[in-house]
Amino acid sequence: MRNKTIKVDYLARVEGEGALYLKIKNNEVADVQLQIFEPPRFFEAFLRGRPYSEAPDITARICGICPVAYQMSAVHAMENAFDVEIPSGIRELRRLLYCGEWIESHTLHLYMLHAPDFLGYDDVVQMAKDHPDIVKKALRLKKTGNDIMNLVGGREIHPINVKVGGFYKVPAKKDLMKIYDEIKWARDTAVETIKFAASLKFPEFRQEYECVSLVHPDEYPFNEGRIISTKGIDISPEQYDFHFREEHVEHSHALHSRIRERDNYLVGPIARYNLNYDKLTPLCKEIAEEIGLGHEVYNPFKSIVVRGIETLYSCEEALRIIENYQMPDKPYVDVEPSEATGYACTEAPRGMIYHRYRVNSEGLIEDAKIVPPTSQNQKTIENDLRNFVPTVINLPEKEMVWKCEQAVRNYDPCISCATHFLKLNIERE
Amino acid sequence: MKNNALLIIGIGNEFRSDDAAGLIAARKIRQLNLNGADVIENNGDGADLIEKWTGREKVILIDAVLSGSEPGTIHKFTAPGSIKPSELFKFSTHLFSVPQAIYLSASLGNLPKELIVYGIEASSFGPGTHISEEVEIAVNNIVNLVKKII
Repeated sequence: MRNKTIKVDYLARVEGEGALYLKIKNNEVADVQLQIFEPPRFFEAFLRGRPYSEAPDITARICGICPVAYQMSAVHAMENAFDVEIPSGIRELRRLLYCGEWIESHTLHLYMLHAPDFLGYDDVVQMAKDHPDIVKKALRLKKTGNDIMNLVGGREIHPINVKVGGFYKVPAKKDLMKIYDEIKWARDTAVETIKFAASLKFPEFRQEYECVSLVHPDEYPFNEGRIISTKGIDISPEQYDFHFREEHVEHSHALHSRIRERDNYLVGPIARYNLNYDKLTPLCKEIAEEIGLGHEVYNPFKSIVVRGIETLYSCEEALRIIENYQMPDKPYVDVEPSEATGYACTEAPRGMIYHRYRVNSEGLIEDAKIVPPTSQNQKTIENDLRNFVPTVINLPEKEMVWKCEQAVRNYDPCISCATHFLKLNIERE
Repeated sequence: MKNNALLIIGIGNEFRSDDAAGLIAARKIRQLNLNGADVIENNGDGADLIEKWTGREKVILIDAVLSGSEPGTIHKFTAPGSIKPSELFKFSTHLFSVPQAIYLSASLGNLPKELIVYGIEASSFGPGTHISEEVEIAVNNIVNLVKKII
């Protein structure tokens, strides 16, 4: 059967809805389209005319899984516009908040959405019947992330405590110490998590990505850094638009991103790991060494292991921040808006996110641009499939479709960010 | 750790019209200051639901549903028996919906001994903060039902 049409109506375990279309002709992939058909959500449009101070709360609503990424990018972009310097105490708390989001988001994807693929279960409910202890641990680990978000952000989903210039309220050291022991438990569990992820069976598959991530001189990146790529890009977020372009393709309501002078690129855990390995903690490196992960990963199926490493990093970083924490005298610095344009990139769990705002002299937003990680990865997901399908083309159809869905889930795609997404259609002729 | 107090959980999104039904019911029940009952609100995050009901003996969940019945119809299920995964509760903003949470919790052995779900048939899940009249009546009926149970 060399030519064929296969339709899968709903791809599970991704955030949102959409479709994937594969056309197979003479046993070769003729076309791959990630079809995001949900209507655009117009966030950039309805930010116009709103006060600059509302950007973190409005954009947080783009996503229930990674609201911190939106809030952090929005506040940094505004602070960039108004030349606001953030004191180190507030900066540390922002990193702590980001740790919470990475722990909860990575754990959710790693155990609940992605692990069932590798273990041959339809979903985590099935998996829990055979592995209740793993799932119980996963829920507790995820909750540790939520607890951090609760404490620093005011609540776990769409935190309300973040403002341009800092926070509305900052926690006392004793408040943070309440979750310290639980984060220690989370750190140990993250080590187990990495070993669990590394024990899964991975297909032999290598892609030559151009990896793009923030790189900071001293830290594994969350909120700050230069945009670096493995093919030589080295720019500040202000220069993003000169090097990256969004373009409309007919089959998707989410804009595709590409590097202007080249093509598609990769953002997310693998890209960050490949560009920032040296910034990981000694324990992260030791575990990576122990499982033989190497300093670079180019097999997208191993993203699950890298998510584990980043979860461990987040736990260790959270512990470090809490140990050294000194409550800032004032929870925020005063911000004086002016007519300006601000730019920022931060690292969402799924990859780098870009915000740009033009604000007028009254502090009202005149123009906004938001580029979430999933839309940047769209073209790379399609490329992966184009190269991956030939390796599974002779499998029974059900198995082949399963593998293709798994290849998409490698990206932990957040379609509600990019818009919304996913049905899988395969056409063979 | 066992907790014998009845836990009432109202689920919903207050910016999605009738999807707010569970939250509104929870707030009305809370105002009654019923002895021996804890009332919380949840946005439909399954993982959080499991955490909240673990250790509880008796739980009542209230959520908006869509089954094709007349708006305002009250459906009563007892978990996990009469709830099919993904049926009715389609409008979760998270990957991990109410039925999935119930089934997962059953697999993990931490499902409350008695879990009653009241589903209120919605007429609209569109953006907005207004709930339909039929749903409002159903909310009040559920509040009365809960009052009697306690």
